[in-house]
Amino acid sequence: MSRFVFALPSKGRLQEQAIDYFAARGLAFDRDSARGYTARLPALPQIEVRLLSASEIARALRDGEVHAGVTGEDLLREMGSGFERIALMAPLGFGRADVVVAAPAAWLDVETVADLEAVAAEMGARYGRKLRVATKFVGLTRAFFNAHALSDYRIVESLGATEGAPAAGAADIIVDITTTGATLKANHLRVLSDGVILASQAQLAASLAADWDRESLSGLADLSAVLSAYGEAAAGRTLSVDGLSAPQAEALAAGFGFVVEKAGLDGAKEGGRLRLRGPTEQAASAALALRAAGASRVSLQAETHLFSNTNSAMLAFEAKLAQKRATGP
Amino acid sequence: MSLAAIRDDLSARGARFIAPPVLQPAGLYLELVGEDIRRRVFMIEAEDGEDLCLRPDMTVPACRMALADGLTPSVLAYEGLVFRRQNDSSGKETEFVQIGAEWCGLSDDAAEVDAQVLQAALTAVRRFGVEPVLRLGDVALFVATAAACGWPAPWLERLARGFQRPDGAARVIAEAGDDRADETPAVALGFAGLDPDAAQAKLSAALAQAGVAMVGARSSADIAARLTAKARAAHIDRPDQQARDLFAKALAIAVEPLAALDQLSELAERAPAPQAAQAALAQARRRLTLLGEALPCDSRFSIGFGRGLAYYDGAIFELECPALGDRASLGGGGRYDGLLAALSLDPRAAAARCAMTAAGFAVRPNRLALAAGITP
Repeated sequence: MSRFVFALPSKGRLQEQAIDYFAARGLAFDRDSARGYTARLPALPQIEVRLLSASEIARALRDGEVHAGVTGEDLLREMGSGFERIALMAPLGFGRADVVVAAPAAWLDVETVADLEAVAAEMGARYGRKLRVATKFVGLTRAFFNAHALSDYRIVESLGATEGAPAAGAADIIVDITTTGATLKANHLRVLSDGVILASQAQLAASLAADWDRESLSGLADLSAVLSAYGEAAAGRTLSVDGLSAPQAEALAAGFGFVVEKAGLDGAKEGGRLRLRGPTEQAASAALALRAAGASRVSLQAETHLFSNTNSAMLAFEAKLAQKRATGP
Repeated sequence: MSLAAIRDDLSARGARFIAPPVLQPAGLYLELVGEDIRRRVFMIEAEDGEDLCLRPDMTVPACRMALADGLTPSVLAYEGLVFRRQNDSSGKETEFVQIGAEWCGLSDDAAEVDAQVLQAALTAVRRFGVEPVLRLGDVALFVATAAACGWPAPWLERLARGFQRPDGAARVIAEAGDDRADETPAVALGFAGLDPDAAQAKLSAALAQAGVAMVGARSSADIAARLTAKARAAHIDRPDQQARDLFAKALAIAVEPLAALDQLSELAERAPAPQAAQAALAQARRRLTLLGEALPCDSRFSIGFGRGLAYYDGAIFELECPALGDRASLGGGGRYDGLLAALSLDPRAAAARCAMTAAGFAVRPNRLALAAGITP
C-alpha cells in the first residue's frame, strides 16, 4: 500500500493562494518548518504533502512521482503529449493568467494570427529569415500555431524576460503569460485579437502515471470529497419552514428552484419542520415568498460542507484511470 | 524481385543511384517547412555547431547532392530509410524505406518531365502487381485558375499560402467574402489610397499619438506598405462575388483528369480573365496526353489537391491503395522548381545559386508489399 502523495507549490503567490484556498475549506496546512520540503495536513493525516515548484509539480505529475497536486494549467498543457498522463480534477479559481501571442504594438497591420502568417511570408522575402517567436511555452506555441496553420516561423527559447526580446532584437514577437497586460504595454507589445492561447488558472490535477492502489485512491477521494463538499455547500442554501402545509410550501418553493430535502435518518421530518434546498441566489426570494404565504418561521442556513454519496470528480478520474490501464502505458 | 525490377527501370531511365547522408542539417528543414517539422523529425542537438536531424525524406538530401555536384542536369535515384516522428498512438511507421528519383534541371519541357516522373512512379507501383488510385493536382493551375476567375494579385498570394492547409482555399474564399473586412483599422485609418511616403507619415503620426515605440526588425516602411496593401486588398482589390463563386466551383471539380481539365477550361472561358489560365491548362493537358495509357483507371484530378508540403509548385500526385485504409499512400511526388533555389541558401551550395527545374517521386516498398498481399 502506498501513501497518497500530494504536491503543493513551494513558494510565491501561487503557494499563498493555494494555502488560503485549502484553509477556507477546512484543510489547513501545518508547514513542517524543520525541513521545508514537506508539510502536513492535520485534517487528513494520511496524506503526504510535498512542497515543489510549480513547474516541478507539472513534471512530477506527468512522470507519476506524485499522485496529485496544485499547479498552473499553462504548465500542465505545456507538456504536450505528457498532458495526456494528467487528469484535471477541479479549476481552483486563482492563479489566473493568460498565455498570449503578442506582437509589437507598432505593427498596426497585424491584428490577427492570419496577419501574422502574411508577415511571416514577407519576412522571408524582405529579411531573409523566418519570423522569430520568443517563448518559454514551446509546446503550447507549436500546438497553437499548428492549429492556425502557421508554420513559417522559428522559436527562440527564452527563459526569462521574454517581453524584452523584441526590443532587444532577439525575436519579432513573443508568446508569454500575462495577467494585466501592463508589462506587455510597457514593452510596446500588444496581444493579437485572436491571440489568447490559453486562459489559465490553478488546477487540482491528478497523475494517471502514478502508482494508484486502494490507499492512495482513498487519499485522493478524501481530499476531493472535502473540496467538492465545500463547493456543493456554497452553491446552495437550506430553507426550514414552519406553519405551512407541506404541499403548499413545496409548490411555492419549487418556483424558486427549491426542493424538499431527503428525509432524515429515521425517516421522519425533523420536528415537523420542512427542509428544502435550492440555489443561493434565489434563497432570499424564496424565504420572503414563504413568509408572505403565512409561514410562522422561515430560516435560511448556509452550510460549509455538504458531503454527498457520490463524488463526480472522483468517478471521472477513476474512469480515466481505468481507460488508461486498459489501453496500456 | 519487384524491388530489383524498380532499380533496373530507374537505371534504364538514365538514373544514377546516390546514397545521401542519413544525417541532414535540421536548420534546413526548419527553413523549408517551418517549426512544425520538429514534431515530425528526429532532431539531434549538437553541443555546438548546427543541429542535425534524421532525414525525413529523400527529396531534400538528393537535391542537396545535386547542388553539391554543381547542378549537372541529371536523374538521381535513391533507395534508403527515412525517419518520421509519429504520435505514440498513431501506429504509423517511424522508419521506412523509400525508393524513388529526382529529375534535376533536365529539360525546359516541364510537362514532359512531369509525365516521365508520373510514369516512373506508376511503373514502380505496378512492379508489385498493384494498381493504384491516382490523385492528381497542380499548384500552378490552382493559382492560374484563381487569376482567370478574377482574383487580384494580393489575394493570389494568400490563396497560394492557403494551399498548404487542408481547408485553406475555402478559408481564403470566406475571408474574401467577409464584409467585416471593411472594419479593419487599416481601412479606418485610411491607408488605402496613400503613396508610400504619405502612408509612412500617417503611421508615424498614429504611433506618436498612441505613445507606441517602434520595436523589432520590421521597418516602418514595411509596416506602412502592408497597411496600404491590406487596406487595398480589403477594399479596392477584393475578389468580387463572381470571382469567389467561380473559384469555389473550380475547386469543387474533382473527377477523372481529362474531364476535370475540360470542365476547368469551360469554366475559365466564362471567367473574366480566361487567358490567365491558358498556359497552365495547356501544360496540364499535355502532361496527361504524354501519360496516355499509363493513367490508372481510377484517377482523380482536382486543383485543390495538395500533399501538405510547402515546396511543391507544379504538378503534384499521390498514389493510394484504398484497401490499406483511408488515404493510405503508396508514394507520391510532383514538381518543386523552387526547392533548389531555396536550398541554395545553404551556405555550402551558395556558389551554385540559380533557378532550376526539379521534379520527382518516391514510393514505399513496405506499403507496396502489403498492398500486393491484399489486392487480388
